[in-house]
Amino acid sequence: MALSNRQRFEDEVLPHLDALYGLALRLCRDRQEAEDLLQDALVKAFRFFDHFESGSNVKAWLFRVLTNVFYNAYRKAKNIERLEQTAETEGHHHRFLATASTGGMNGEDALLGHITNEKLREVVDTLPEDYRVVVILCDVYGFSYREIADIIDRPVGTVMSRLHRARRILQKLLLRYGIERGLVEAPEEATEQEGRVAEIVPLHSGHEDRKKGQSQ
Amino acid sequence: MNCQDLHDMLDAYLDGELATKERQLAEAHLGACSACRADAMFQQALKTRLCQAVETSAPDRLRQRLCSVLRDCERQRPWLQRHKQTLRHAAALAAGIAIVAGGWYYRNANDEAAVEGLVQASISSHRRHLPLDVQSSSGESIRSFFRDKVPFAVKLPQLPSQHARLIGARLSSLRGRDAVLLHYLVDGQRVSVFVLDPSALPREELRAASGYQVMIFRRGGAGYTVASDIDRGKLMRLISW
Repeated sequence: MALSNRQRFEDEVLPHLDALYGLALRLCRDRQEAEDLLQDALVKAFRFFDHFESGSNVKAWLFRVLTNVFYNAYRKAKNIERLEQTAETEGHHHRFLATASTGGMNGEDALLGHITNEKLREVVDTLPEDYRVVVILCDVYGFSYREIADIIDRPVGTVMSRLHRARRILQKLLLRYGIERGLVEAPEEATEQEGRVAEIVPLHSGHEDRKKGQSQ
Repeated sequence: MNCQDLHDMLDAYLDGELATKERQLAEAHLGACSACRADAMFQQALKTRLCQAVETSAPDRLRQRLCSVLRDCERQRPWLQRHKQTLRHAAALAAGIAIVAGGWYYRNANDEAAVEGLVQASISSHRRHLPLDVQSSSGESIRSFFRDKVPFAVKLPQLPSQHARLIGARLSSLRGRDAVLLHYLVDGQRVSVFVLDPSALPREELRAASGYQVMIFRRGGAGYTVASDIDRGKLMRLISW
């Protein structure tokens, strides 16, 4: 008996529902909205299922559809999202990790060992969407740079620069939290920087790439 | 290579995106520079923690709702009229799994290539989903079917039978080594377990790649790789990693 189009679609898609929901939840940061996003994305994928080439990576394709629907219909207040400028200060942090006084433990154990999953999700959720999506696609779902580039429809160079900045921002936010909680001690240079008024710049498409281009 | 060079390529190093030559340069620097090593350890641990913290599973009622929406679409109902149900908030997320970050190890470049090869081969075979040589839920009949067909004892992994249903097996190969592919269903989702000679495994590993979860491990004198559609938490509970 031949399977209907819907049955074939369900066979292909349902195994990936958890993963899709996980991304939707981190994109929307709201359960209700994540469920609506997932529903819209699946309806759209179903409509275009005929165009999907069987044998290619259905999971990457579904992530691409979901990301597209999110950017086109769910993303709020485009270009208003603001991001702390961290580029000038990031270089100090790895020195800081090596020298931080952490009672004999290294910085990784002292800090990450004390941070709950909830706190970590909260910190990830403060990343701008463009950064959040690449770090999740890479670290949680293990997509390659090339696959991520296809999913978000941007060049591999953009994926790399966003990933780099996303991780540095995460590291900075976690360190700040660790210092506030007394999990790690702030060396003098870091205190100085934390005390500085953070420069706020608007995040708009291509910002990080242009900046990179100028500095080279 | 200096610290700035390492800093610039650290992400690609940790994500397995460097060519062998570059990876060796990065490792040489990491071996010599404690500051960069601390940074790399932190970033590696962060990657691992993110994976555990962000993963989640879709609520069952969402699954049912989506299936019903798809049926509606099929019937050509005006699908734009989304019926948004009032959804009660789901129970708190399941507690995160204990940290498995483990110790930092220097990755040997050859091992890394072998691990990556195994991971990709396992995923590729899992995705092809070729017909089985033997359909049986009995471990004993599968063991006897492969006796004399592969140069190692086919030991089936100990999976909780109430969750993992054995469907059958086929002869396979990973990176030129014989392997027996065991096909399981876990809550309706496919899990491919490859049994192979333990000497074919460079080390144990748990890795996400191309959207799939892959495990490489040794148990009771047998080597295994697992590629699956299910999420990492479920897979780890299944295998008791």
